Amino acid sequence: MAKAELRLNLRDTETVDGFPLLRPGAMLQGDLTVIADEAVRCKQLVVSVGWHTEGKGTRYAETVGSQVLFEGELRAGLPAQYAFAMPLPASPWSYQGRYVSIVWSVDVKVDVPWGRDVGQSQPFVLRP
Amino acid sequence: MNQTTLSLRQPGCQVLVALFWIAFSSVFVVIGVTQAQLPFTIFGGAFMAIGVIFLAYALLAMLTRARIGRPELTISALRLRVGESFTVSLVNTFARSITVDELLIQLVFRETAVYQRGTDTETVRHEEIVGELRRPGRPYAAGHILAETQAFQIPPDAMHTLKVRRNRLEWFLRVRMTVPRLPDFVEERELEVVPERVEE
Repeated sequence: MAKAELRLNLRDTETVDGFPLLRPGAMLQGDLTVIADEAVRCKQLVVSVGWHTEGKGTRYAETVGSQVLFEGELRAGLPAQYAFAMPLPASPWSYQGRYVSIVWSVDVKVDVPWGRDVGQSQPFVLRP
Repeated sequence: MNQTTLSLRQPGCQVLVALFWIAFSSVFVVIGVTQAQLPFTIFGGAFMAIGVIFLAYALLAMLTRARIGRPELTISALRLRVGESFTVSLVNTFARSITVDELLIQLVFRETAVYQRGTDTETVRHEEIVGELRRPGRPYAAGHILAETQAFQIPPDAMHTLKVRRNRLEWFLRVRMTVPRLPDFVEERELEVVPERVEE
């Protein structure tokens, strides 16, 4: 089974409670480094930004943007770096309550045909 | 100023629900009595008793409203930004003589979460009272006027209104008048808090 190390880095962010802080309407910028253990055919390397609810209620999720960063074969042991940028919407703001929380995240997925997808998620805070 | 005046009144749908409940339960009682089926009689009778209690409460609530009248709540803005201040005015001309124990006007932030547990749909709520006007009550004669004005503020670090499937974050103004030996008069009006922060 193919394995890949994913390093996701968000640029130009402040930090709050250990999480990157981004402002509503700002441009989310980052880069992704992929190091595959072995050569693997990648149907799509996708980065997406979205939010979901957490807590007692049934989960609700929305993706606000996504980009395909790469399609093709990832070469073994060779780090590949991809930059991405996506505008963030004005809302909803991040929130942590008793029964409802709003969590934003950047999600990366390596879509491997006939194999288990590899992914990583980086939560961040969206607040003015 | 973009202000909104609302006439606070609630339809008497509780009475209709109670009557429907009693009518539905009575079918089981009739079946139980005519066919000598004790379980139907007990089951239907218990449900009917709940309906009668509910009906009595609904009628008393209507009596409270009939005696209080129709309070008018004037809000300086129904669409607010995070950190924004606004004023609320309550004016009521009492329809009949009544003693009000206490008047409360509250700014409420409420979380509502809906989830499935087996085949049941459960709802949980959590409220935070963010601001409050509390006035001691007194006896009012018919035609007396109650007038109160209070400034409230959506806190600068608060969350905006959000309504998505099965998860809601909402802001309300709640008016409560406590009346001895009668159900409280309670009305809520929703405020829309938009995802914008007031510039300091």
